[in-house]
Amino acid sequence: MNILRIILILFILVLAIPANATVYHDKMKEALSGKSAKSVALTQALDGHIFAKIELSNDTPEVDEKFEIKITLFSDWLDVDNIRLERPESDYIIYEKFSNTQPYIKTINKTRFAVLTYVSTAYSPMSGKCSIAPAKFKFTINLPPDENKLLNNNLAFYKQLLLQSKSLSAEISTQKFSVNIRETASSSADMISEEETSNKDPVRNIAAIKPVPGAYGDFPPVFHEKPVFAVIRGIFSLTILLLLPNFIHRRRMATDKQYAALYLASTAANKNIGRVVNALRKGAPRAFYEEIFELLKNYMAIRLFLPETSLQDDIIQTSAISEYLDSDMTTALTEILGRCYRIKYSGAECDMNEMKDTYRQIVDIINTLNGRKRII
Amino acid sequence: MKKKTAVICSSIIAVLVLICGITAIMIVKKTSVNTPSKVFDEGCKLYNSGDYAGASSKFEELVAAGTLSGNIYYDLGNSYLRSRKIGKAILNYERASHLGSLTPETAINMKIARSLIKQKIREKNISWLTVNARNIFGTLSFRQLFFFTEVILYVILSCIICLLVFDRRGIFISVIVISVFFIVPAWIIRTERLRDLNSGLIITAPTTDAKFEPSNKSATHFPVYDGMKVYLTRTEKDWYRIKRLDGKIGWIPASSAERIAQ
Repeated sequence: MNILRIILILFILVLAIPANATVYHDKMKEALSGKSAKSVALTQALDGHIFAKIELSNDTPEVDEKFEIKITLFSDWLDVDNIRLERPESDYIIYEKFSNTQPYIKTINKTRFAVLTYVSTAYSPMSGKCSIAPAKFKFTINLPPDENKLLNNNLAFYKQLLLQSKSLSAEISTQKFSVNIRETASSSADMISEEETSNKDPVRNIAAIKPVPGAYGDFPPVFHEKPVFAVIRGIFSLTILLLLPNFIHRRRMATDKQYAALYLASTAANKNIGRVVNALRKGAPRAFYEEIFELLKNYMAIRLFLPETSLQDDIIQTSAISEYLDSDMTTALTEILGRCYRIKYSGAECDMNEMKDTYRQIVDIINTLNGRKRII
Repeated sequence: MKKKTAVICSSIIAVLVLICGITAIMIVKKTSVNTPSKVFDEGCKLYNSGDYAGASSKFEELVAAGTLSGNIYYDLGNSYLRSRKIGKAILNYERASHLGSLTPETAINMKIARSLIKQKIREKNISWLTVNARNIFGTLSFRQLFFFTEVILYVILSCIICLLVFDRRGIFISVIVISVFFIVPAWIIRTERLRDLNSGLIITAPTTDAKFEPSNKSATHFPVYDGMKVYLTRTEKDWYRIKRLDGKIGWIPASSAERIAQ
């Protein structure tokens, strides 16, 4: 029922207001949507680019029932903050004065459309809010012509528009809610064309002052000199420097076959040499030579790409081992292998000194094969 | 094991970036919105009533008291421009754009003020990259630019770390390339802003002769006019050695110019 009444009232008002003064701007409606279902609003064009919207918090005010009226001026241009909305001259009591809060600016970028809703009176207000209790409430707002300068920054800087002097009057009663816009009788300023304005003194064209101080800060800004930024960058740089050798190593492991073989062989040798030392300390020749054989088998397989089963005298003599070792070392290696086979398969005996010599020889051989990457 | 290491590494990197980002925001975003003071209000009223000299003195009072905001500098610039003090107006618009962002109003008014300078000096050796960078990032304040470039820098450094740790490199390389695309123009403007803050001067005297030597007896090299932007290269007693935008160098009395960064 209420909705039907609202629709009916709005329909009557649309018909009542002259066609050129009424604009139901879809985008603006969309921008200002989200009000309570009971509120009722009228949006009208004051001029080509300025719109007035009057909202009532209650669509069916009773006599002496307090309700809220909000007047908002906005524009589809960006800079309208020098429009002055004075406190309405009303023929009825206003119970609460216009509220005094910070301006609220809503911008919808996609449609290049800004709604500036200043809920403030002291600092060049754009909108005012007051509570009234009507039997009948009537008010008029004068928009002085010389204050309503608009600057369109989407166009060239010198182009601007002066709004004609207008009066906004609204009448609200329990029966009716209507808004009319008419030219003030004293109005003399006409719309000034862009060309005319640009030919005049350019200082006249400057955008208006800002009515609020905005966010405070320090000037000159010296925050960039704070050591914390150097520390942050230092942490990042240090992390990169620490990770870089590992990255290089990983890259070489993936691309350099020789490097990968050397690294993996050394790792394997380091692992096995510990077990060899343990066997030596225990004085267990069989275990010692078994570990030596295991070490050589693993190491050679990785380092020189030899099959694990091919660790025989003749292969050692002819394989790549001879490229890295001199003849003495090759002979020593052959002897060690022979000793390994003898002890492993025939159970031959050997003393501690012989084991120590073998250990020294094997360390020398592996260190030589490793080049700079020594295991001990 | 490898997966576990990767998770730990990525967590460390994420925490590192988060800490750095928060620290940067906390330091850079040290601004507060306050209600307008009585003096500011009086300044606005004087301006609206047409008393621009009175308005500028009120806004100057605020600046002297250390109450600084982009809007106050902008309003002060407007008051000076209305009083036909072009140099002072440009100076304050410059300050407004460094403290707050370069709002459309500030840009428009600064352009109007600059159009009133007696001699137009063309900037020397300006690259297309700088021109485009100005178009993209020119409206940001130094604070916003600094924050933006720092965050992008942290992202790039984090991606480099990720490149070193993880084997899947495609995504990190892509992020680095995109970030570099953004950071280069932003860094150019950041450097420009820093240059303005460190050595930017605005001529506030009507006409000043730049001399070959820091002495009144020295021959005149070129004139500089009210509102011109120059860069300070050296100071000597009461003289500034300046470099004009076209690259000319000369000495002017220190009293004839004001530094953008007070």
